[in-house]
Amino acid sequence: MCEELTRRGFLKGSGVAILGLPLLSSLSPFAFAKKKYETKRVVLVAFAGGVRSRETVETPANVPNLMRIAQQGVICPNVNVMNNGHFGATMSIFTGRTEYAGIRENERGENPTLFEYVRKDKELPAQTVWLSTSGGAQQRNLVYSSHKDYGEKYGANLIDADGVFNTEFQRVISSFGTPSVPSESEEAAVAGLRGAMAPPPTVKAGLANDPETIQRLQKYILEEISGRTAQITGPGASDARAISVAVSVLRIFRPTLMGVVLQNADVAHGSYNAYVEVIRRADEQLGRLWDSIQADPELRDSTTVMVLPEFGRDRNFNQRNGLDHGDNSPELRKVGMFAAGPDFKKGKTITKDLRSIDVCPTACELLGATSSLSDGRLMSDLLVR
Amino acid sequence: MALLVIGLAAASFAAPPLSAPAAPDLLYFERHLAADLNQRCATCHSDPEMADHFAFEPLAGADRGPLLRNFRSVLGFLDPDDPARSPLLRHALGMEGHPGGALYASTTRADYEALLHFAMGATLSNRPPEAILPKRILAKVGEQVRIDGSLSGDPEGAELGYRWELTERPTGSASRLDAGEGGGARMRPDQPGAYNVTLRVHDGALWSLPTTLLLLAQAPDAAVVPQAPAGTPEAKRPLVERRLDPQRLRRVRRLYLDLQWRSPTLPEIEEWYERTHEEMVDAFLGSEEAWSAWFEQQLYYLLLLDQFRPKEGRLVTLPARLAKGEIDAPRALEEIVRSQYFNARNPGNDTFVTVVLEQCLGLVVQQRENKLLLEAGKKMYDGYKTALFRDKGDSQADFVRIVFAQREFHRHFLGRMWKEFHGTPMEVKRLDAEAARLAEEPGAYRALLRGWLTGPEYLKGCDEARTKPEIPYVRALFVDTLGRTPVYEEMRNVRNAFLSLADPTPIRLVMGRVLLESPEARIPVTAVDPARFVREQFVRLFARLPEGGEEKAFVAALKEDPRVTPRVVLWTLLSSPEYQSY
Repeated sequence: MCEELTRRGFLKGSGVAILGLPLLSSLSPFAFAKKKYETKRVVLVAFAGGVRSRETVETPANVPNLMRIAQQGVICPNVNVMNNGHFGATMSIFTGRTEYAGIRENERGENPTLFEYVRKDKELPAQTVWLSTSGGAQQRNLVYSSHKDYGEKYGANLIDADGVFNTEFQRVISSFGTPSVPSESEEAAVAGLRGAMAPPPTVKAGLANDPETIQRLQKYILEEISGRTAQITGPGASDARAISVAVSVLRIFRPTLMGVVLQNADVAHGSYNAYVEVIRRADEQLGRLWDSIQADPELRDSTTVMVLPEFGRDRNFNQRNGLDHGDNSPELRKVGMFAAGPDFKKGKTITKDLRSIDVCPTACELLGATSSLSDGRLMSDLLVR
Repeated sequence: MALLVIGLAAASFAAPPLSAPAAPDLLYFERHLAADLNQRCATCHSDPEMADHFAFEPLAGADRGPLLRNFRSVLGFLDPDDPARSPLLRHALGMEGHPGGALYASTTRADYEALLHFAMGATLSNRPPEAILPKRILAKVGEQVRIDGSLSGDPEGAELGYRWELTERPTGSASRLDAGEGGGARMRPDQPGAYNVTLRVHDGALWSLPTTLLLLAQAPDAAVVPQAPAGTPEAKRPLVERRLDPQRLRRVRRLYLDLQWRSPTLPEIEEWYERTHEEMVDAFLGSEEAWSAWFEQQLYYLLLLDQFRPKEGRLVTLPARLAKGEIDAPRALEEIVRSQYFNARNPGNDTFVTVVLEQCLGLVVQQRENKLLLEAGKKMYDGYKTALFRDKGDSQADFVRIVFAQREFHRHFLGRMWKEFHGTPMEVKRLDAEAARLAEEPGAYRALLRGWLTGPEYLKGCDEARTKPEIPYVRALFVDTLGRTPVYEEMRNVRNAFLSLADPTPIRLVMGRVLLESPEARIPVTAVDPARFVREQFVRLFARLPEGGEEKAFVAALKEDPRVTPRVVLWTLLSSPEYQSY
C-alpha cells in the first residue's frame, strides 16, 4: 500500500524532525517533541456559550481574575475561531480540527480529542484525565471520539455536575436517609471478603477506572451530594458548578489534564445584562480555581491554565437587546485567550493571529504527547524559549 | 412495571372536578408579587418585543399599564392544572434550562411560596389549603392499611374536601383505594411493590397541591424453611442447597433483565429454575410486566420523558393490550408516535417529520439524498397533497401511516430490537427476511421474538457477561436491595445521575449504599444460617453459587469477624465488579 506523501509524513520519514532543524522548528510540532517543559498538568477551560473579547480582554473590570491569571502569563486577543455552533466550535478546541457538527447533533466526533491523544501517547490511566461540564448531553460527547485508533479506552472521566449534583437527585437520596461513607473498619472487612472472591467475568473494556479511583469518586460524590455544589443557584449556576467540580477533581485526583466546558454565556441571546453577569460569575469561579492551584505547592509550579471561548458574539445587539452569534464579524470570529503556566511568558500580550485549533497541539506538546491528526500548530510565541 | 391508574374516591363534600382550577388573581399579584418579580425578572425580560418569550416591563410608578401587561404576560406561563409545574415557577427555580439560573434560593421560603400560591389562584382573602400525608408507609400484602390525611389544613380554617387517587401500583395489582370519613382512606395491597397514593384537598374555592404517599407492600414473611433432612430427594431440597446448573441460573437472570428490566427475586429464581427456557420465554411474552418494560424502552428511545411521558389515557394501557395480544408491537409503536405526547415533544413540521424519519426509518435527513423526503414529509404534514414513498397523503396522520407501512420501518425496528437483546447487529439476509415477514404479518413480532430468545445466538450470549444498561441497573438495584422496583420519580432522577458520569460505577455504588443503608432495606441483623445466607445472595445477585473458597471465606467472616454483618456481605457483593454485569 502506498502511503500518501504529506509534509508530516515526509518529516517523519526523513528524520528531519528528529534532527530538529532550526528552520523547520516553528512549523512542525514534531520538532518540539524533544524539548523539556516544566508543565506537568494542563487545565483547559472552554469558556463556551459565546463570549466576546469586548466583555473580557477589552473590559478588564468584568474579569479581574482572568486578568490576574494573565499577569502571570499571556493574553492573546487574536485567536481565530469558526462559528460552527457551540458544539462544533467547542469540539474544535479539543480536537485541533475544524468540526462541522450540527447544532443539535448528539454524536461523538470522528477526530480524536486532546484527552485521547494524551492518554494514548503517555499511556495514562483513566483517573489522570478529566472533563467537567456544565450540562447538556452534547458536552458528554467531548470525552472521546469514535476514531478507530482511539475512542473510549483513551477517553476522559466525565462529571456533568448538573445531572448528579442537583436538588431533585438530592431529594431522592435524602428520602432514603443520610448516606454515609464506609468506615475504615468496614472498608478493611470488605477488602478482606473481596480478596476471597473469584475474578469477575470479562466484559468489554470501557473507561476502566481502577478500584482506588472508583472508591475515591464514591466518597467525593457522597460528600458532594449533600454539599455545596448542589446548592449553587442564580445566573450562571451550571458554569459555577462545573468549575467547582473541577476544583475538587484537581484537589482529589491531581489529573494530568483537566478540561472544563462552560455554556451559560449563551444567555446573551436574550439579555446582554445577564450575559455580563454570567461572565463575571464565571470569572469569580475561575479565580477560585486559579487560587486553589496557586495554594498547592505541587500544582503551583507544574500547572498550565488556558481559558478561551469557542467563539465570540455578534457586533450589534439583536431586537431583544441581546447578542446572537451569526454575523461573522471580527467580534464573533476572534476571541481572547488567557494562559499561564511554567512554560508561558509572563505579563505579555501576544497579538499574533492564532487559532482555537492550535490549543490542542499546544496542550499536547506541553504534556509530551502528539496530536497527530490535528490541523493546529504549536503556539510557540506564547512559550518561553 | 408500575401502571398508572386513577381511582377517585368520595370526599367530605363534593369537591369540584380537577378541571376547574381557580383563576390567578390580579390583586394578589399586585400586592405580593409585582414588585418582587420586577426585581427578579425585569433585568432580563424587560424587552416587550420578545415575541416568543416572557416579557416583563419595569414598573412605572402610578402607571398601572406595566402592571397589567406583566400580569397578562405571567398568565401565559402558568399551568392551572398543575401549578407547581408551571413554566414560570420551573424557570424561577432554574429548571428547563432557564438561562438566568435559579432566582429563588429555596422552595420553602416565603417569597417563593407567594409565587406558588398565586399560581394556585390565591386571593387576598383566601390562600390555598395544604394536603398532608405521611411520606412512606410499610405494609404487608393482604393486610388493610389505613391512610391518614386528616392533618391536612386550610390557613383560613375552611372545611376541606378530599380527593384520593391511586396513581401508581405494581403491575398485576387490582387494589382499590376507598375514601373514609374525616380525611382518611383505606386500601389492601394485593401485590408486593410500590403504590403511590395521592391526595389533594379543596377549601371550596382553591385546590391544594397534590401530595403523595409511597406505600410499600411486602410479601408476608416467608416461614424459615427448615434444613432438609439428609436423604431428601435433590429436587425437594431448597434451591441453594442443591447442585445448581450455572447455565440455567444465568438464563433465568438474563431473561429477567432483558425482558422485565430487573433482576429476579429468590422465589422467582426458584420458580423458573425448574422450568424450561422456552416455557419462561412464553410466559414472559404474555406478561404485562415485560411489555411495560418494552413500552418504557420505546418511550426512552423516542425521548418521551419527564413532562412528555404519557400519564393517562389509552396509551398507558398499551402494555396490558400487548400482553393480551390485542395489539402488535409495530402498531403499538405507531400508536405512540400518533399520540399527543409525541406531538408535543416534536412540535412543528420540521421537527416532527425529521424525528419520525430518523427514529422510525433510521434515515439521516441532513444527507443530500434524503432532503427531498424531508420536504415532501413536511408538505404532507402541513396538509398539502404530496407523494411520499410512492404513496399519497395530505395530513400528519397520512405521513405517519405511510412511514409505518415501509419495509424499511420493519427492518429498522427489528434491527433495533435484535441489537437490544444480542448486543450485535442482526445478519443482513435474516433481517431482510424477517422484516418482509413482519411487513406482511404485523402480529408476527411475538413469534419472531420467541425465535430470537430461544435461538442459539441468544443462548450463547447468555454465557457471555454484558454490562448492565442504566435503566435495568437502576431497577435491579432497587429489587436487590429493597425488594421492589423504583417509582418513576426515583427511576428518572437516579438514571439521570448515572448518565452524568463517563464511568457510572462510582455513582452506581453510591446509590447501592444509600439503598442498603435505608430503613426500607430488609436485611437481617445477623445471619441465622450463614452458609445459606451467603449462597442465597450469590444466587440472587450473581446467578451462581459461591465457589468453594468464596463460601468458606464469607461464612467464616460472618461467624467470626464482628465487623462482618449481613449488610457488609451484601455491600461487598453489590460493590464488586461482578454486579456491574449480567
